[in-house]
Amino acid sequence: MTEFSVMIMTVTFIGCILLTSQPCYRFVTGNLARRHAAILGVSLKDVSFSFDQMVYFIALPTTIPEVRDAVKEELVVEPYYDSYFFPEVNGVQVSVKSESAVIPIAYLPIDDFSLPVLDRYLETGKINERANRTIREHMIVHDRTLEAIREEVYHHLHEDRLAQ
Amino acid sequence: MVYGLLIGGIVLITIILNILRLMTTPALNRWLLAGTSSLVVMWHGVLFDFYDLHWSVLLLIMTGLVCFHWKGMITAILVGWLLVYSQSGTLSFPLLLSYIFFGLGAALLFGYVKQLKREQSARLRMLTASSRQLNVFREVSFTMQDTLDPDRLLQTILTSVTAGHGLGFNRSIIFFADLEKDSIYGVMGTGPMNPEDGFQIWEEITRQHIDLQGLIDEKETDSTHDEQLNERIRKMTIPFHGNHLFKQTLDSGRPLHVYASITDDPVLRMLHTDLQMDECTIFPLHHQGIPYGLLVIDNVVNKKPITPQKIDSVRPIAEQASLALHQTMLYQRIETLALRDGLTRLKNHRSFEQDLDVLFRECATDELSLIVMDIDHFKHFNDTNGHLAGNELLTRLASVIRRSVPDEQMAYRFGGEEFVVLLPQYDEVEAGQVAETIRTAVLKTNFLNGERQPGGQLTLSFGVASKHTLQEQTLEQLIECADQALYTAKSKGKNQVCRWEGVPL
Repeated sequence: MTEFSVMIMTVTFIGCILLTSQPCYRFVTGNLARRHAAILGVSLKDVSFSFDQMVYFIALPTTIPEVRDAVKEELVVEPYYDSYFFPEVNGVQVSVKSESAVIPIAYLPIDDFSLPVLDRYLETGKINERANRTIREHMIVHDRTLEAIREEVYHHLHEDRLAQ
Repeated sequence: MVYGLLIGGIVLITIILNILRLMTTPALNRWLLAGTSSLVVMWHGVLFDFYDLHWSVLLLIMTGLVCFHWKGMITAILVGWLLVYSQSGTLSFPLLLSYIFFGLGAALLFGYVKQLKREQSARLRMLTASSRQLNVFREVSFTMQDTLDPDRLLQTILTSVTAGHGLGFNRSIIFFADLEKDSIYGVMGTGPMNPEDGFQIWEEITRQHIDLQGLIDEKETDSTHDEQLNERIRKMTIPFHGNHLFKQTLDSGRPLHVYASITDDPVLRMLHTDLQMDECTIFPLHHQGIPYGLLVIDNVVNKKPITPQKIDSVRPIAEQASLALHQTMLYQRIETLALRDGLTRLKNHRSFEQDLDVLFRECATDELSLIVMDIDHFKHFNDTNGHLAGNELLTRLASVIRRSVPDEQMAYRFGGEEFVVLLPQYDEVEAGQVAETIRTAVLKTNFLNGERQPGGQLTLSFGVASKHTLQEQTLEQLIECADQALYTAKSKGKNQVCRWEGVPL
């Protein structure tokens, strides 16, 4: 009977690690980022960011029906993590999830996520590389950013389709 | 009840330590995860009297493997085996062997998954880099195909290399090579003079959220961001046939990656001093063996290293740019042949008609004046000195006219010994003053055999007409009125300016 308890322990532990790592990571980076921002006297809501360097894997305008005709709700914008056990966001990927397929259409590497204010603070030594990375990670996985990226991608797909 | 306690305890321990470990450094994070698994095993042991510790050790081995790879796995096997020994009092080598086999199996599986993940990340990086290059190349090709205007072409090249939507370098500069004048000179650049300016520009662009096409369009109308840089680089001139890296790059036809701060090259030392340039790459712009110039890129603001991959991503753009520059130069040459007078290099009659038509259409309400001038006794000059001397005279006279008018692009050879000047925004009084300036300049110039002309010097007669004095606002009447004024000047004794005063023809 106790062997069963070992199985329960193992499954619960690994499951708990896998399920809670990413939410915990977002929670922790959010708190740390706000703390760093407070020290700098900056409000994260006012920090302007740009995802100019987002890379599209498809040609725009596209002729792929699933992408061309995708509605906004079909665009899935999610952070891309390298590891499940040691989560660290590497970028944000955008894909179209239809009934038949998942088609990756764009990717924004975190290093190309532009936050000029942070770059300036880093250059002038007001923050260190770790604080810079933490704020950057918090900003890129923030719901506001993900929604803005979704809008941008949808706009590109839609705009170019109208231009055709 | 006890299972509830087990699960509840594990969830609590895991969540708390999950939060704690993510707040620490990566190394401590690994130690805390290993510690969490030990706590969980202990919690299980407390609830079940460590009865199945030998099974629980498997979890420690897995965690050791995840956190510290081979070393962690081996340590966990040994520690776990000794723990079991301390509890049972017997050294079980079959158990140790089982742990080793389990560890090896887990390591193979874990290694395989990790390898897959690594390959996936590598593919994603490569796909991202290739897609970026392709997108920029596509966008730039469209823009280049769309224009034969050299300025817009240069702006497109520079912006595609520097913009966020482009290749993302901080700064790029184009130099042109002029073999005839034996010089390489700065033409246009985009980017900041120094890091501080760079941050300001980035923040502005980020706030305004301008895309690549927007940036290219913006640069056409407003170049305030790069004004200082352009002012500086336009003053840069280097001898083409010197011993420097620009020449070597053009000769080799390959990009050159250098550090301006540690080189003795005079050109790069100048770029380092004037523009704070350090790590940079120079790309030759040449097509079919003809060198057109150089493209220089650097990351003056964020100091990101210029990797071989990044250099490779610029090469197709530089080659495409060279081809586009080649086409633009050819077009300009053809345009020059079609619209310029071969002898005097002034614009020709066809060009005059085109410009006049555009001015009449686009500036319908604005003032416009026309000067028509004719060499006095030119037939006499030709008969006395020969036609070759006549051609020389026309060439010399054209340069005098060019120097005396407000805009030399508005001076034309109308035909034979007749020249015209268009003066947008000038009324008849101001146009008369311009005509007088030309007349005086001609009188002050020593033309070869000019003294053999009647009156002892070469002279011109001028007719001036302005749009607002015409009865009908047509270009034909403007020409006719100016011509009429010229005849008046001729009939009144030549070497003078006459204005069309609004008398009907």
